[in-house]
Amino acid sequence: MRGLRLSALLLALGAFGCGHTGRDYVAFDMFGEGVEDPTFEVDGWQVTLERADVAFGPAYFCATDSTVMDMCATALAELLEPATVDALDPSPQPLGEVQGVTGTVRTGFHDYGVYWLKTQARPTTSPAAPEGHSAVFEGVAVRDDDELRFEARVRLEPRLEGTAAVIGVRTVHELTPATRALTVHLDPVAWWSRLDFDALAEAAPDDGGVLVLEPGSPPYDRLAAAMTVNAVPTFQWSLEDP
Amino acid sequence: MAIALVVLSAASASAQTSDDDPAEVTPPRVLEAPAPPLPSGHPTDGPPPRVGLLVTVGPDGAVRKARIVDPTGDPLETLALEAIWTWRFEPAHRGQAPVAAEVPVTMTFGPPAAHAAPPPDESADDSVEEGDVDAPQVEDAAEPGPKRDAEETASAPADAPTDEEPLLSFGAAAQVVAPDLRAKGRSASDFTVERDVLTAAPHGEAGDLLRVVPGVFIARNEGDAVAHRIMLRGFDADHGQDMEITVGGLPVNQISHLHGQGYADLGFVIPEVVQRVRVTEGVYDPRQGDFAVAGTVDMQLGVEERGFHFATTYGSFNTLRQVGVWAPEGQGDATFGAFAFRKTDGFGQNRAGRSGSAMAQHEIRAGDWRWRILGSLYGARFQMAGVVRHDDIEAGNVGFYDVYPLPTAQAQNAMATRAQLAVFGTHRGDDGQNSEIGLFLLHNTFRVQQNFTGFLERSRFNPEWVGRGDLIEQTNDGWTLGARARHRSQHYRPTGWADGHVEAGIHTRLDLIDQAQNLIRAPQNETWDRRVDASITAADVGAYVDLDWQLTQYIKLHGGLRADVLFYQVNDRLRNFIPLFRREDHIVGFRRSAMGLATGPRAAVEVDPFPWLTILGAYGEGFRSPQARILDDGETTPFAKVRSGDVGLRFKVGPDERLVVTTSAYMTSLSEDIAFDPTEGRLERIGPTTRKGAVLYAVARPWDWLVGSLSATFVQATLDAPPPPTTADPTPPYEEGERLPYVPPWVVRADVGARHRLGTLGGEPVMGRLGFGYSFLSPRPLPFGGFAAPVSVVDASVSVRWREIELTLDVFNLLDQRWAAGEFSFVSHWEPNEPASRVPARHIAAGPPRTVLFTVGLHL
Repeated sequence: MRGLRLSALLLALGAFGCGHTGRDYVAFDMFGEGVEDPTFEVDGWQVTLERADVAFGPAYFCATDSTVMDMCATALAELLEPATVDALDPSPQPLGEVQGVTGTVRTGFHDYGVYWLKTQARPTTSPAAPEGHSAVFEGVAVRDDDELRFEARVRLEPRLEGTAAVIGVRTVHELTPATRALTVHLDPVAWWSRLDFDALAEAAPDDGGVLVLEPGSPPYDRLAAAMTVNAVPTFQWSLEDP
Repeated sequence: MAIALVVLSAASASAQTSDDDPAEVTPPRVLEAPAPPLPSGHPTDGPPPRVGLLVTVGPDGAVRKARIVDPTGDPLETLALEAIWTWRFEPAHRGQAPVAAEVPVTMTFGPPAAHAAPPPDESADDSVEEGDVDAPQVEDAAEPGPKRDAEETASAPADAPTDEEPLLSFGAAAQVVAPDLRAKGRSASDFTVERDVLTAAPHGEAGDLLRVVPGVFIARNEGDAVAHRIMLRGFDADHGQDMEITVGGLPVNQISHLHGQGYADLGFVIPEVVQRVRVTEGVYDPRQGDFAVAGTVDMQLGVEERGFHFATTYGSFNTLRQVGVWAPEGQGDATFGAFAFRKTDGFGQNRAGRSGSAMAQHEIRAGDWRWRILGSLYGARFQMAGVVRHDDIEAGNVGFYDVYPLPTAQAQNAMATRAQLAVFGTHRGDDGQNSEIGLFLLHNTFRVQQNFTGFLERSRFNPEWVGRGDLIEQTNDGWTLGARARHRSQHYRPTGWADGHVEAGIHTRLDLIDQAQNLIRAPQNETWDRRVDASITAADVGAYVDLDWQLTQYIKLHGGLRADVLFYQVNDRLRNFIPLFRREDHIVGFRRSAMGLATGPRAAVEVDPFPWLTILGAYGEGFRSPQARILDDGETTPFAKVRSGDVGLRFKVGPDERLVVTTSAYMTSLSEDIAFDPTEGRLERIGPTTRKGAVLYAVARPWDWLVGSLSATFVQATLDAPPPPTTADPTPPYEEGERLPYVPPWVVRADVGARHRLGTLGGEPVMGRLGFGYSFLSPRPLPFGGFAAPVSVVDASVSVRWREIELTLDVFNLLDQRWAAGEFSFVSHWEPNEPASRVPARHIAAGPPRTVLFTVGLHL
């Protein structure tokens, strides 16, 4: 009993002597949000996206300014489990909890539900990915009397083991325990706006069926480039609960 | 009424000096010997009871120290100890100078008539005061008059029976305690821990002995073939980077070791031959050299109990240890030979291994010189469990004492060897003058395969080679040739109120090192990346001058200056590496040389206003050498400069210093600190740091059969500037007063040891011994936030000895606490099929659970 008292006393003394190392672990929720208006106009085409399910994650937020992911061996925050965002819903959709430590975030690296571990010979698709793809899009484009129905099932893989599909997205934030939420904004309108709908119309089936963007085709590659390079998601850090 | 009869037999067959060899020594003789009263009711029939004591007689003839030889707990021992303080002696002499001497004394209680006979020979000194009929009669068997060489003194007439044969049967050894070669202690944080304190609690190996030292915590977190991780007074010294460690005068730290600067593996030391440990916490002594950042530890070797000692230990986890110590009779404590062999299955998965060590030391006297030859050979190979993630333990993915079930984790192991040979010579001249020379040769090999991070690494040679397991192989082989010499002057007495010595010395060492670091794929043992392949030549030439001055009898000043010049030559065969994506426009490799000079003053003041109180203050500047491979060509070596200050009080209470209490406050700042980086398995720079704290240390020997010590060390260790920017983090977070990772604010240690007679068996005493040790570490801040769990471990030991046989039961971690010998925070990935986390996580290396060991020992 006396030993226990002694230990309790010493533990109290230990607590008295505690400080911290300038860092703290933090955890907060991450949300995904889409566009408010799924309809946009490009080259005279009135395009309406009817479905835009996009897988997001894993995602890492790093202190480095570099776009080389090896410079992010230690991340400040991460969302490990991918989740799917309805990119046509502008309201925040919970994706999961972000774990991290305090520090200055400068860049983000993330995948679209397909990740390539250093331990694996080929990329892995998350079960959360829509229909086993990074994104599934469906929509319709109308110009005058022409109607073009289209859909795309996009698979975006990292180029190298241990890297991410989207690298070095600039997002500066002082990550502190006060951080309450992180929201990723996915903009499928921006992605699809970069496509040449006249060319898509020419490639459409003669019977008026649905145009499916095939992997390796120019519009598919253009869409993939938009998602990974040209119109990458943006991040909004919040000190308040959404 | 009882009388005491004393036989002081200073004439000895084996008179010997404990320190330096006196040429001509006259042992002390008894002048006054007041009798202790026998307790009332004590039987007076039968042979007169005797108590054997070992008494230190000062140059003034007063008793300075006394202890019972082989105490049994008999009440007469207490009486004898009380009585001896009232005795007066004629001091021993070396030449004409009185010197302190240690002599055995047999105090015999018995009827006066039985001892009233005159001395049996004519050597009894007339000056010996003889009591009246109720007073003790004192016989002095020492030869009066002529001086004798301590080595050649004749045997006491122990084997010359007379009518008073019992009175003369004590064959004694007069051990002359020469004056110290220099003043002991430089600050309030200068501690000497004697063997009774060191061995109060059980210790599995020599490194564990350091747990008794104030502010020290030591544990093996990388298996039994890798050096301990040591913490001292606010320094996470890792494997020795901040502690200068010597064993028997031999340096243990290794220069620019790949696994950690100043790497110091104490595995070769057999704990049975460690006689005492002196620790100088801080850097206040000009003799302190490289790595004396947190302080210096010196393990002094010797075996007090002479003869053969064999012991076999067996216990938990199929652990077997065999030790043998040979301490030849008639030789000093410093002469011994010892071996130890140990094998174990380990307390958890992947921890099995074997180690073996042999040590021998021989002391030779030749004229005024004492020569000491020390040699040892050591080897160890153990598997290693490495670290496991705390969240994996909590999730049940891996056990606390387990290893990850992956080839890259199960292949972890380490092997180390060390061979050393040294010769030291000490010469004592007149009037405090003395000199010392030493020469040593060391050879070390080290190989470790360990995986801290799982599957994060990418090959530089082929970036497509990834995910093969971060099994880092490090090899470090080195030769060290060193020499040292010093001379201490005779007394200078420029005035009547001041006198002192001047000492000058040099310390040199040359290190030749080959080191490599690779990534290994298990179990194929394929090399899939090469990170380091280097040869290093390092030389350190240090010189110092030291003043040891006494101003009046109340004030002592010590101080001096030390300078070290360090030279490095590095052949880094993999630097200027050409990645695959770059055109090959040069040949890989980077050869360079660098040198630097480190100087630092050291000063200490000691004020003795009362015999029971000493006030101490000290300031010093020291250094730690850099890892040679971080140097650029022609760079002036960037030493880490340490500045250390210390003030304190030392109280000595009671006769024979039954209670010694030391309290001190200290501050240490370091211009460039380094910390362990698990990713590369080595130390990295973190910037300037400061430690402020206080120490309380008490050692009590209230009775001859009981010893206890308690230390409590508090420290506030802070980072003084932001860590160096890197590409990965251009502006590392920093707050004023930010705590250093891994440093526990509180370290507490308590030891209690009791030794007492339990009874008799067959007319021989049965001695019992009981010991406890308690270690506490408060929660340690971790690098990325959070705290390591506190450590609270109790060890206990009980033993019984009868005649030559000793049975011992040691229990380590008596309460079976689950504790981490190492706790870290970094990124790892141990689940090959799940997304890899890049956020730092807590990892632990388990400390041993309750371990029970049973030992059968023979003392022949």
